[in-house]
Amino acid sequence: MHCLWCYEEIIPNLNWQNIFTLFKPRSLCEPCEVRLSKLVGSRCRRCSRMSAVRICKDCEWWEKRLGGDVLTCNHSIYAYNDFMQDVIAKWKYRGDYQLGQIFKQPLIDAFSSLFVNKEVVIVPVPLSEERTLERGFNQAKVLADFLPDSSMEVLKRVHGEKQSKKSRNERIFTNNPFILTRPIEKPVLLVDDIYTTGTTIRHAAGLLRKHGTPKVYSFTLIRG
Amino acid sequence: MKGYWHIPAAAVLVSIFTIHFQYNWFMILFFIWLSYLFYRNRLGKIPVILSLICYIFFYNHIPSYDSNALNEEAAAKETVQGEISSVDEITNKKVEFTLRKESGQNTLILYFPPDSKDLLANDDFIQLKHGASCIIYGDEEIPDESRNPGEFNYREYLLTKSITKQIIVSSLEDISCEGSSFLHRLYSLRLKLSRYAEEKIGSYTAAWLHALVLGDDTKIGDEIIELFQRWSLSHILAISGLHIGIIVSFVYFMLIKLNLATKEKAAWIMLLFLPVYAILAGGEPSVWRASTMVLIFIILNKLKLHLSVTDVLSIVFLLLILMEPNIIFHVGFQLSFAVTFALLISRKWITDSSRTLYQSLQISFVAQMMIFPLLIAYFSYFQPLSILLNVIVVPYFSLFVIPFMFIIFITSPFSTLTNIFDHFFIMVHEYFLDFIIWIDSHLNFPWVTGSLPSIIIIGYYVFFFSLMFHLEKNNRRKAFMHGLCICLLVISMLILPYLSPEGRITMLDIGQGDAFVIELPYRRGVIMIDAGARLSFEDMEGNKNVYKQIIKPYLYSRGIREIDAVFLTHEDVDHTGSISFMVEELNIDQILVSDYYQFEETTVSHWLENNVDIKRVSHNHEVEIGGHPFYVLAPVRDKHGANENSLVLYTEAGGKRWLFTGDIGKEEEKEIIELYPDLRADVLKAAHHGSDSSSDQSFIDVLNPQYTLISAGVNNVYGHPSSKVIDRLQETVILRTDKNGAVQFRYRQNEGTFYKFLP
Repeated sequence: MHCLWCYEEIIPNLNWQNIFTLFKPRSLCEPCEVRLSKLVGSRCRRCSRMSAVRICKDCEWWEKRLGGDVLTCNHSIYAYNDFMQDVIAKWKYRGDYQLGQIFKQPLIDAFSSLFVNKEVVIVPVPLSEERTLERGFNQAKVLADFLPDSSMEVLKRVHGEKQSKKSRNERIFTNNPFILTRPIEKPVLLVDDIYTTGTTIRHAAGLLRKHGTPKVYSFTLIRG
Repeated sequence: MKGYWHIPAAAVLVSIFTIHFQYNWFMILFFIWLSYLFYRNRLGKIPVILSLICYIFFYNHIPSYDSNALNEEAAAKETVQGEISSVDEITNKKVEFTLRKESGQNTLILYFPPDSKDLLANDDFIQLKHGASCIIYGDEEIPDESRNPGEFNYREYLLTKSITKQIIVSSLEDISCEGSSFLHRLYSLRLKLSRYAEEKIGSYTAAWLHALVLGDDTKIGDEIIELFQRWSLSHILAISGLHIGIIVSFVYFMLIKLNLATKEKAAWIMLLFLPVYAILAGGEPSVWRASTMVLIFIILNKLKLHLSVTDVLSIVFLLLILMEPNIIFHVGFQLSFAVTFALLISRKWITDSSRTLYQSLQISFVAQMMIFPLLIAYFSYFQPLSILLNVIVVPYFSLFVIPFMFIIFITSPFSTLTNIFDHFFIMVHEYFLDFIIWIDSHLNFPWVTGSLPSIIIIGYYVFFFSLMFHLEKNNRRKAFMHGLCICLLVISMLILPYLSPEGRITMLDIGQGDAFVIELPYRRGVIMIDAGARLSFEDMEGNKNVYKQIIKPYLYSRGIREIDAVFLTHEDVDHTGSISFMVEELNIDQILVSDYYQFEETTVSHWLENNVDIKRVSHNHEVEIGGHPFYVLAPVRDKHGANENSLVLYTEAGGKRWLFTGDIGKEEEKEIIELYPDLRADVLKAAHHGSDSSSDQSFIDVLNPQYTLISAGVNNVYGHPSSKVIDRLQETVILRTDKNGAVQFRYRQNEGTFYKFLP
């Protein structure tokens, strides 16, 4: 096995924890893996960013602006850092589809400890058709497909400018780019790669809530 | 396969367990585990298949030996032909080498020079070369097996070196050899190096150089070696990873820094140097383990291949067993691999902590804990404080002594410099050894637990694994709980004898002499009657071997370090010779002797110095030890003779009446039955090793014993026991040490059974 990032051979090391269970197949070598920074410690209950207070300032602002948040809570696994930026760029923009594999196991682990008993419908956040053609795959769909439960693509997206090209204010005040193709009356788990300001997720969540979804959670790889 | 080589190595280990202990459930468990891993995608096809192959192959490859299965063949003077496969010892006291016969079996050749003339100057030794083909004239016999519980089994030990026979030659003329092999050059180089070191450097320093560089610790002196053994420091004296690591880096560093070779070439030189050094250093399993590991790492590096360290260790394990299957029974091999493996899988835990002192404590802890059951199994003995002492001693040796040995060796051509170094070393080292000796005399609190039942060993490893698992996870609360479980397990082992309703009375086979051990139920008391020794011809005193090889191992294997009382029936060495050694190393409360026992003043003061009460017991007295009464029946009056004044003791145990008679003669026997006409004994210790001068018919008729115990040496010069005595005792069951080895009576309340150690 070779590391999907640095291509070095991965030779697992025995220790007291894995001596009987052996090693889960891994796609990143240890030195590369430690460069990804996992979110740990106390976090905002709403958006998963590291925070000393229960609800962070951002989420309070959302609460005020929307008069009650449409999003019940978001869970993210990683914090954003330079290394993650490189990985995401290679994966999403330069089309290294396989690199997505490195997130598979962490995603499954987090999902099974958080959402598995919650009877949620998994909905990946869509790309517009043009963007999907351009990239070849929808990263949110890839992530959703890693999960043990099947997902439903009930949202469509109108083509617009890339989120990453916009400023914070531009992002927050854009119009809702989503169209709902089928209302869902069960709790929904939105899946996306990154939560930056939370606008995209809340656009999708708002739309779902308006059409009868009781609760919307989101599961994003990275809290930006 | 990379990262998974330990699985086939584990399969080999399991096959050893299956063969040696008939643990079939162990194999079943192992294969269930493999299937589970395979099913969960944790293990590929190749490791599983390889493990199966290894299991089946080694199951047939590893000999299942039974030391009793060797047939005793009639010994006749004969000639044995073969090739010298190793020259083990040539000193003025002993010559020992191994002969590989054409049949592939090995025979050990021993020669004990009659007087200590300088053998090494003798030309006859030059012919004892590795690979020489020899004709040897002598009796080929089966090596001695152990004759007592707890005793070291020499026959089994030789079997682990694939030696099945031995010849003790009576003169050097019975050996004729010629030729040699390539390896002889290396061995003679070893000899030359050791002579050179002795010549150029003082003998004190040279002795340590021998041990630490050439792997020969015979010159250090038994006391230091035993001290190191007591404190689990022997690994320092056995050349292992520590030494190889230092030596390899030293040589490599010199080659490069002195511009003697490029890094590339230096690696090639190391490839040649390592096997040569392994042979020079004595070729013990720990040396081969360490040097083969380094060798494989260099080769992997050359081939630009990568393997994990545990892989390399596992491959070396497989290779060594493949070459010499018997090596798995070698204690050094077992300890070396167990410790290395434990340290390698603890790397994460150790490197997670940042302080060096704490790290060395961790290393010492893992190493000692891992081999704790092995140490108990082999030595019945564990020194918990050795974990701390290792933290001090290991750095001292690895940072100072071993490097210093090389420096002094290199400077040896310059005598003044060597002299200064030599003096410096002696000064520092003496201080250091004094420090260890001080600790030994003040902080010596060993656990003597006796042999462990396998269920306890399994329990120990389960808890040890969980302890390490949680320590590594930094889950301190759970780690503490499991550590506590280990402590409870050890404590329960220590108190187990105090809960056991079983008592034991053991007649140890110490050759021609008496030593009885009485262990009362619930460990209410441990009593000995006599503690003999073999006579050493040099000073006519008892020599330490009986104590060291028989009495102490037996007591330790029963978890005994404290003795409530020792009865000494009379003064002869074959009844008392071991007592002064016991007084020094064990806690003896009291020594009980008859009214007419004649002490030497030095002995008395020696005993008193060691806090022993000396008491005289008189005729007709009752002595109670641990609530158990002993009645003194004799001596009635002073008979002016050691044997005749023997203490005669009567006691009851296990529903039987016992009579211990020392060395009394027929006259004293008659006096006893006159005084006590109603005396009966179910078990009689026949007086004076079954000599015809004792065990009178009338005595036997009155006592009417069911069992007779006779302690006599195999083929002793006195012809004990006499055939006439055997005739007189025909009606009884005769249990004798020369035929049965140790004889043990195990009892609960009023029921008991005799067990013979030899079938």
